[in-house]
Amino acid sequence: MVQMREFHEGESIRVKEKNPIIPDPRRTPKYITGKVGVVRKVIGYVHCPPDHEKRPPYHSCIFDLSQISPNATSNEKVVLEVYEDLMVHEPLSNLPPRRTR
Amino acid sequence: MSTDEQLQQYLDNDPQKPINPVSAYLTPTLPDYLWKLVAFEEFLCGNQVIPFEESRRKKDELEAKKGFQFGVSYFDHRIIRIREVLKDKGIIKEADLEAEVNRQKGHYEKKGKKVVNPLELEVLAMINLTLGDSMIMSRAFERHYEQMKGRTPITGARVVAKAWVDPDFKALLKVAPKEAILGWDPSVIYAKDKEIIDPNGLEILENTEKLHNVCVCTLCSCYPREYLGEPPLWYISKEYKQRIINEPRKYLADYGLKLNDDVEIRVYDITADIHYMVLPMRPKGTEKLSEEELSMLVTRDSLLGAGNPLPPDRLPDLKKAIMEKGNLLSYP
Repeated sequence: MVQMREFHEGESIRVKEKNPIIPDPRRTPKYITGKVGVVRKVIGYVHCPPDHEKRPPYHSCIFDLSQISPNATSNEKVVLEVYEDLMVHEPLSNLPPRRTR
Repeated sequence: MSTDEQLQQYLDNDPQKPINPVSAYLTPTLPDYLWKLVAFEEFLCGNQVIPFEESRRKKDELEAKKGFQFGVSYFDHRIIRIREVLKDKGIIKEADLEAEVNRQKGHYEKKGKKVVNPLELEVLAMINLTLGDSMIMSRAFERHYEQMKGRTPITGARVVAKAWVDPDFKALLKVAPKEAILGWDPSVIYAKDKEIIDPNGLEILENTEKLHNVCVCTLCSCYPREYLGEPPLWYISKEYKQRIINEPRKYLADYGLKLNDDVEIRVYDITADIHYMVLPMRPKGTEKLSEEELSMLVTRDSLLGAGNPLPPDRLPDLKKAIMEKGNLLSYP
């Protein structure tokens, strides 16, 4: 069966905040919420620990560290896995200016 | 004497800083009772005696208590955590534990061994009380313990050396690491681990002249254990977790790995589901070396992106040290 994906490689995304009322034990560090990144790789469903099968698909995303820390430069990145339901599409105009080589 | 001080005795070559120029073959290992503890914890979680989340919850509970976190080292924390969970579940009782600890103390005195850390006896007592009655359980635990001790950074070093020598293997490794490694030499990974590792479960990150990869787990201590064994102390430390995210270039420079501003640094935050291992750049002047010799140059820190492989002029010393220690001969 062909699976329709909402997010694809190279698309820009923003990480949503978790619902403060419903407890959510899934791993999403606080420092990344609200930050803009790009999908590096679509990983999909993970079956490794059996209970993770029920969770939404994973996406490996890449973020500029300069959004997170004032000490970091734009040439430093952080890569994280984010669940699909915690991501929203981000219009390209809101992206930080591109680095010129 | 706390566990930390004791660890320092064992891990002479492993201060809590990332740049540790020691070959993966010589990476110091943990004391025996800590290996038993780690194996015990995994064994309990794997057999659903204690769900993994429960020990996590206990950790949060204990940390919320005032003054608990202060002065308790990482492994002491883990020992206390498991003990409390086992007590809460009614698997062991306080009185039994005390009696067993005293019995273990007697054993130590008979053999003339010194008790360095009082929690060491508790680990042995907990294992005896939970698994000692059942032949099947204790056999299974012993097998798991042997497998745990067999996991060393040598696996990672051998994979890296093979990738340096064989471009076809390297190409496959970057796409499908599990297939590449099992297709080459299944003996590098233990039988049990082959079943555990998910095809998604590992990604190899190649360092180039314009890109440097670093691994961290900011939440706990997720680590590619199948390939590198147990994590080093600096990897678990809070300083590393905080500074590698806030100022990676400065942090690496502070510990001896100086990178130019035009080199892109990518910090990979590892999760429990997907693990990363770094494929470092091949050192210059190693064209004539064999695959086995190349694997000796790989350090554990270079497999995590916190260092570089050793230069080839260190090879004669390394060979001598490895032969003296016997690590190479006792492999796997």
